[in-house]
Amino acid sequence: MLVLLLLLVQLQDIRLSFLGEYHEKWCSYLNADDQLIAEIRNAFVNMEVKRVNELLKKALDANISPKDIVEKAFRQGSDEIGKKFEASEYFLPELILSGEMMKKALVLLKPKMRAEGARSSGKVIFGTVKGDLHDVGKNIVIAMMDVADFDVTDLDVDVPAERFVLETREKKPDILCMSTLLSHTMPQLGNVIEELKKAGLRDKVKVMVGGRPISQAYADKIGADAYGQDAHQAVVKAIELMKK
Amino acid sequence: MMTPRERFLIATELKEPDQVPVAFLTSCYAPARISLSLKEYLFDRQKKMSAQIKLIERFPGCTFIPNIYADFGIVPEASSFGGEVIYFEKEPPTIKKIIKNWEDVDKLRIPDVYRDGLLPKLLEEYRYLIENTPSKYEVDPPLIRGPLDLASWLIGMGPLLSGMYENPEYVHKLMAITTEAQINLIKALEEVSGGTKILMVCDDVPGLISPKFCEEFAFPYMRKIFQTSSQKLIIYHCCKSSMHVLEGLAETGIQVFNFSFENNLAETKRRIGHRVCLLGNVEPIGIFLEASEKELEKVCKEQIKIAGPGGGYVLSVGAACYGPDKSMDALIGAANKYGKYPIAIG
Repeated sequence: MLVLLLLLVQLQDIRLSFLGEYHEKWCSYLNADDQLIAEIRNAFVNMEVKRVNELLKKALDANISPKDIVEKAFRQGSDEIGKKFEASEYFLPELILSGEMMKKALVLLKPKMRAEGARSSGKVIFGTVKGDLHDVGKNIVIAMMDVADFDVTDLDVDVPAERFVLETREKKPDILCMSTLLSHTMPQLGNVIEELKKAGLRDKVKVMVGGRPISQAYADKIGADAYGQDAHQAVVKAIELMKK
Repeated sequence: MMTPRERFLIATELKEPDQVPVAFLTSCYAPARISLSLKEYLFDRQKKMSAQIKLIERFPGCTFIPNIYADFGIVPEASSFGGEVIYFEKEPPTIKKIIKNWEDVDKLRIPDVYRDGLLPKLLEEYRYLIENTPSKYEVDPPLIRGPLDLASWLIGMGPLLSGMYENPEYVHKLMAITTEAQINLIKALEEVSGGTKILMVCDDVPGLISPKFCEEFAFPYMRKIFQTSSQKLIIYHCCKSSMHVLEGLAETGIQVFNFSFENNLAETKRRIGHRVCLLGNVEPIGIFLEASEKELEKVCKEQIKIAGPGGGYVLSVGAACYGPDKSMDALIGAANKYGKYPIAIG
């Protein structure tokens, strides 16, 4: 029995050592910068908050391109997280936490990207409509838009139609995004679009809507320009809207 | 011929009544029965009772959950922790979160149900309804929040869910507090009524988190609440998909499950239909709110065909949402037409 146990331990050691060698070999193909970025992405996908912060600091100290960090660590990482979400391996806590990690990282990375001459993908204002205090979905979409290099102004929750109109007039965004999670506050989306028309601003801004009870049919019915079914789709649609 | 309530109660015992029962959540429909703003409805107990009675009278072919009850929206429990309630004319009230940092959880105290927030009003109104509701109507206890749902109102959904990774000890502390608060509320409700038959608990959060987090942060606390309660019938409502935690939810001690339209009905029936009465799950917006009566009838027929055989099924909507009278009539009509036992849909 003891011999068998020792044999199993040895086999395990051999397996680990083989995997370790394989990992080292794989890493040797990457340069040091790519390796560090890959480590950030893995920590990000595995929800290791402290490790992401430590590695990010290390990457910035090493003057790794902030654009590469955003693209290869956070954007590609959020794609992986999205796939895990679709496969029911990840749920809402993971989406929220990854959004928070990206938000913190982008506070450090965006100014450096701008300093390097990276251009914004577009200007967005985003709010949850009046009567609705839900902000989870909105915050995730904002984090994803941030990664896609949009400049997003978060109007927070319970935003009345007048405020959307006022902010549109003052900030001149390319896209106005609105979300709601409640069926009884859905009509607010259409109200805002009507108020934009009355204020003569409707043709000056693209309107995208989203939220759990919303569908493409509903977005069409109220005259929105786009409907974001989920955070990933919202970013894809925002990029498409910018091309129009 | 059975009354809708009798039908419903037989289905909750996982048996076949004379036909598939139909049930709706009262809070979504009662205010529309009277021409008052929602705020006025919430604070005028006589008119509120009258609106609920009008609703029951208008739809004699179904049952309402709860029947006549003290409706203050979803805010009473969070208000008892000191949360500021925000009222709207047309929309249900909501509440501002009161915990800004996890460390604030250490300062929380268990509310006094007879003194704090809206809870004394809730108990007073429940007592009033028991004493004043005409005897032909049933008075049920108010809906209560589940422990995670209440926690999400106190600290916010985002911080609560990310806290499961970053501050699990504090999440457990908060859960212990919300669980004890809800147990105290249930005991007070039982004291007012002298024992109640039904308790409806609403908590969407288990549908939002992984099975692992449900085992850690949801089920132990739900079990504690359900086991402490002497209610004979526990109805649990979750608006979010719960396919990933069906068996775990069934083991918490619930007898009736009002589940999301996102759940696959056939699979839900197959996996837990032998243990829990299923209440659902017509799609709320595209179908219940917007589809024609003919389309709605077709959907209901299919639902009855899938979940009706063997009993333990109540036809309803798969979310807490408003719908027009014609949609409610369509559900009742479909149950009358296709739901007679034994179910004989080809």
